[in-house]
Amino acid sequence: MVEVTPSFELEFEPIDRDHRRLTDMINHILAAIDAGKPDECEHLVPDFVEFAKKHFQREDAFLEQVGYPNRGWHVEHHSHLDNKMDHLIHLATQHSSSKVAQETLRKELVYFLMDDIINADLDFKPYLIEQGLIEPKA
Amino acid sequence: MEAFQSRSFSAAQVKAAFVRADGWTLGTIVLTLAAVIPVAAVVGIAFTPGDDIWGHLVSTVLPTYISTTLQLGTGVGAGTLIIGVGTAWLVTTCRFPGRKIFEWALLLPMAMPAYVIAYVYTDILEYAGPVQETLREIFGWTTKREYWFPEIRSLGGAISMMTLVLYPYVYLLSRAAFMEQNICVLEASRVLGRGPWRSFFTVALPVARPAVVVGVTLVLMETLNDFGTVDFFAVSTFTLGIFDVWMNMNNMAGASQLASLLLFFVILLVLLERFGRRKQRFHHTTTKYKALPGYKLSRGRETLVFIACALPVVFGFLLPSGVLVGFAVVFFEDAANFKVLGYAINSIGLSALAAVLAVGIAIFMAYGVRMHGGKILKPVTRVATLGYAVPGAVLGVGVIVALTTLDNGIDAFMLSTFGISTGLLFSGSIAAVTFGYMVRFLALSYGTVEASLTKITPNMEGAARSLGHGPASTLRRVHMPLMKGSVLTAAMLVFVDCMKELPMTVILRPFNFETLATFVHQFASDEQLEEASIGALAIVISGILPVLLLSYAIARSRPGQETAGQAT
Amino acid sequence: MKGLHIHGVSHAFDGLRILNNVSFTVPAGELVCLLGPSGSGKSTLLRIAAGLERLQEGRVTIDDEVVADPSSQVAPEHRRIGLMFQDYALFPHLNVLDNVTFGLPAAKSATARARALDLLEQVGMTDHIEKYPHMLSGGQQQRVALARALAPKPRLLLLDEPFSGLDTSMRAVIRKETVSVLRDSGVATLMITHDPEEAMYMADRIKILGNGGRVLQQGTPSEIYYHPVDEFVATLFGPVNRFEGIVTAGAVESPLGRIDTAGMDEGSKVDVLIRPEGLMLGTENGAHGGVPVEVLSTRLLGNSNSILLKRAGEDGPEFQARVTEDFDPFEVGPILARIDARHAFVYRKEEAEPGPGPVCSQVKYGTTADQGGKA
Repeated sequence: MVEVTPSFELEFEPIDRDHRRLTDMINHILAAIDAGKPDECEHLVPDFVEFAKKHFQREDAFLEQVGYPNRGWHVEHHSHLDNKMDHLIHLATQHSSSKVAQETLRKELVYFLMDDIINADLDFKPYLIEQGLIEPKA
Repeated sequence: MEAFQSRSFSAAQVKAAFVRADGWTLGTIVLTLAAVIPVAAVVGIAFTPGDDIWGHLVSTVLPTYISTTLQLGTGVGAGTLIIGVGTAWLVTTCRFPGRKIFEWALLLPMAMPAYVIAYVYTDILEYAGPVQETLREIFGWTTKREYWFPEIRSLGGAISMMTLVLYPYVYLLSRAAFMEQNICVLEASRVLGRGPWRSFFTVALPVARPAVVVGVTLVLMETLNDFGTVDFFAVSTFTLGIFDVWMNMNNMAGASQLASLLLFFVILLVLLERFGRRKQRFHHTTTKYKALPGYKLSRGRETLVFIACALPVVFGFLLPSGVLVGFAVVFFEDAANFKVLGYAINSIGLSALAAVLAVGIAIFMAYGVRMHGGKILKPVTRVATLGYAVPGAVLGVGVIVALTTLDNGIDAFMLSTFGISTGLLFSGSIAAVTFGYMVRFLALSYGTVEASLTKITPNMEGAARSLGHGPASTLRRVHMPLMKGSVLTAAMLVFVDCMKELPMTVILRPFNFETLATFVHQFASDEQLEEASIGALAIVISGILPVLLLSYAIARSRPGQETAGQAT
Repeated sequence: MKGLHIHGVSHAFDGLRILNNVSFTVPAGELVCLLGPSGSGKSTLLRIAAGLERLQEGRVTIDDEVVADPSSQVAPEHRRIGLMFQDYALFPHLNVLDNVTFGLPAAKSATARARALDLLEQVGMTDHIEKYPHMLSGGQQQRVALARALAPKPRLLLLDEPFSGLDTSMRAVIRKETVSVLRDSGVATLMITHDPEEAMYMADRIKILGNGGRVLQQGTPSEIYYHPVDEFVATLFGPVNRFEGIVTAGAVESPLGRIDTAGMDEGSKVDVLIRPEGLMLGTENGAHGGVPVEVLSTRLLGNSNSILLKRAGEDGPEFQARVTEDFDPFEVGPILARIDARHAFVYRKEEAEPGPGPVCSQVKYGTTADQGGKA
C-alpha cells in the first residue's frame, strides 16, 4: 500500500487533495491485483489515468495563474508522461492476465505516483510558501 | 530542469565555510601555538634592546661561528654523501658475500650518539691514548714534535665523527630510492651499452637525487644540532656559541640573537628538504619490482666492495662499542654504582613520559585532521611539527625564555593579587624538559601515526559509522587496533631520541638532575670516560632498538616479496 | 512511506555545483539504481543519504523520519542504514564472523552470533567464518560485506559501485546472488553505478544523473533504452551513429533512409542518433526494403557482428551496424540496410549552427559521454 506521509505533503490543500485521491485510486488497483482480480484493472487504470491528466491540466493552469517561473518545465514534464500513461493503460487492458504484466504494472504505478507526480510537484512548494499561499506547519 | 536559486542554499554554503569551533580544532591550534612559542620567544628576545652584545659578537666571534659551521656542514655533508650513497649503491646493485648482512648492519652507527663516539675516539687517539703510545713504542719516538699525528680534537675530527654516525640517514634514503627504481630502467641502461659506472652516474643517481637531497638535509640539521661533540672538541659552531654566550656570559639576548641567525640557516635547510620531498613524488616509477640481480664481481672487486662496506660499520659502531664494552668490563667497580642507576632511571622516566605524551598528542592531531578534513588543520599540524629542524640549543633557549616570562608573569600576578610570590614554577622543572622534547620530537610521532592512519580507509570509517558506532567507538574499535603497531613504533622512536638528547637537556634540566646523556658528557669532558662507559653503553643499547626495527622493515621490503596477504 | 525519500538535494564543492535539485523515492523492498558518469555527483548523493556528507540543501527522509535538512542532521550511526563500498572496507583486524557482528548490539552474544550466521548462510560464506579479510577473494569479501551491512536489519541499504572491483565472470555471479538476498530482505536499496547494463539488470527504476548533478531521466530500463530523453542518455548504452539534418516535411533524410520527426517544427536543425543495433541488414530476396550498402569491414564480437558500411555507389559517410544474426561478409548479391525507428532518436539542436550546411553532414561515430556502455 502506498501512503502519502507528511514529507510528501505540499501543505496546499487543493493539490494535496488531488494527490490523496490519486493515492487512493492506486491503492485500489494494487488491492485488486493482490486479490487476484486483475481484470478490474482494465477499467480502474484508465480511470486513474484520466484523473491524472485532469490533475495535470488543473495544475498547469494554476501554475500559470500564480506565475511560477519554472512552469515551462512542469508542462513539458507532464506531456512526457503521456507515453508512460499510455503504457500503463496498455499493460492493464491488453495483458491483465499475465503475471509479469501485473508485477510491472504494480511497480510502475507506485513509482509513477511517488516520483513523477508527487515528488515533481514538491518542487514548487518553496515558491508557494514564498507567495504566502501555504502556511507551513513545521 | 534548472533549479532556481533558493535563498537557503547560499546560507548553507556560508555555514559550511565557517570553522566549526570544536574540541579537535581548538585543541590542535592550542598545541601548535605552544610548539611555536619557543622559536617565537627566541626571535622576540633577539630584538629587544639593551643588554646588547650583538656588536661585540659580530666583531669578535661571529665570523668564526659562521665559517666553522659552514665548514663543518660542508665536510659532514660531503662525507655522508659519499659514504651513504656509495654503500647504498654497492649494497643494492652488487653481489658480494655478506651483502644481506650489510644491508642492515650499515645502519648500526645510528645507534651511536655523535658525542659518545667522539669521546671514544678521543680516548683512543689522543696523545696519551693507546694508539699513539703503541706507535711511539714501535718507532721509538718520544715527543710530539717527532712525528705527525692528526689531532682528533679539531674541526677535521668533528667532521669525521659526525660523518660516521650520520651517514646512515643518507644510506637509508638512497637505498630506498635505488630500490624503488624499476629494474628495467637500470637494465635498459645496461642494454644500451652503459657499464655500471655510467649507469650509476647518468641514470641511477639523478633519479635518486631527491631522496639524497632529503637525506643530506636531515644530516645537516643534525649537524647543526650537535653540542656534545663540538663542545668536547672546542669547535666553534653556532650551537657552541649559543651555549657560550648563555652559560658563560649569562647573556640571554646575545644567545637569542645567535639562535635567530642559526634559525635562518635552518629555514634554508627546511626549504631544501621540502623541495627534495616534493621532487621525490615525481620520481616514483613503480611499486612492483623484481629482485635486482646485481652485478657479478671479480674476486678482487668483491673484496674491495666488502671492505668498503665494512669500514663504516667497523669504525662507526663495532670499534667504539667494543672499546666501551672493554672499559665497562675493566672498570666495572668504578662504573657500576647507584648513581648511574639513578641517572638511568631519570633518563628512562623522562623519555618514557615524553614518548607517551608525544604519541598521545600525535594521535589527537592526526585523528583531528582525518575527521575534519585538511583545509585548516593540515597546514596547522605542519607548523606544529617543525620542531625537528630546530637545533636543541635554540629550542632550549626559547623554552627557557618563554617559561621564565610565564613564571615572572604569574609571580607578578600572584604577588599583586594575593601577596604570595610563586617564584619559578615551570622553568627548571621536569615540565620544561618535557616541553622541549615535545616540540622537537613531535614530528617523529606524528609522521609515524599519520602514516598508519592512512592505512585505515575512509570507507572503513564510513562502514563503522553506518554500523552504529560513533566517532569515539570507531576510534576505539577500528583505529586503535589497527594502529597499535605504529603507535608503539612512534613511542619507541621518541623514547630513543630523548635518551640520546643532550643540548636541550643541559639547558632545561632541573637543578642537580642528570640524565645518562648529561652524565656521560660531563665525565667524558673530565677525562673520566671509563667511569661513564656503562652509561654510554646504555644509551647505545637503547639506540639499537630503532635500528633493529628498521632492519626488520628492510628485510620485509626486500624486492619480490609480497606484502602480507593481498589476495585478489 | 517506508523507504528513502530524497527531495530537492543540491550540493556544491568549492563553488562547483555537483548536485542539482535531485528528488526521488526508494520504496521499501525496491532497488533503485543511480546511473551516471564519474563526476556526476552520485557518490556524494549516497554519502549525503548516509550522513557521511553534510547536507547543504534539500531533505532526506528515511521511513518517514527526516534524517537531514539544512538545519539538522542525524549522525550516520543513528540512521539505521547499511553501506557497501567498492573496496568492501572489511575490517582487517577482525575475522569474518566478527566483521558481520560488528554492527549488532551485544556483538558477542549468542543472538548476535545466530543472526550473523544466518546471513552468512544466505550469502554462502559459513565455511569461512574464522578467516580474515586478506585471505578472501574479491567476490568472497563482497559477500561478507553484504552480510555485514544487512545484519543489523537496516531501513535502507546504500551500495556504492559494489561490483566494479570484480572481474566480469565474478561480477555476474555476485550480482545475481546479491539481488536474490536483497529481495529476501525486503530492504529499500539504492545503488550507484556507471555501468548501464548493471543498472538495467538490477533495478526496477533507474535514475540517470548527468554532469552537474541533474536528474536527466528516470524510469524503467525499457523507458530509458527506447525513449532516451536526450543525447547524453541515448549514448549511455554504447557508441552511436550520429549526424545532423534538417526537418523537411515531417522527417529528416539520411543516407540510409528517412526518419520520422513527428511533431518537430519544419526546418529545425536536428541531431540524429542511430544505435548500431538499429541498422537492419538483409538481402534483396527478403521483403526487406532499405537502401543498398557496401560492406567495408566486419568483426565478430562473439554474440554479435560489428559491421562498417556505407551507402553503395556513393563516397558518403560510414555507419556502424551491429547484427546478432549470422552474417556472411562474402554474401553474393547486394546487401540492403534500413533503419529500425525504435533505435533512432532525433533531437533538436540546442543553438543554431553557423550558416546553413548540407542536409546530412559527415557522420561522427562516437559518444557524447566519455563513459558508459560497452564497445
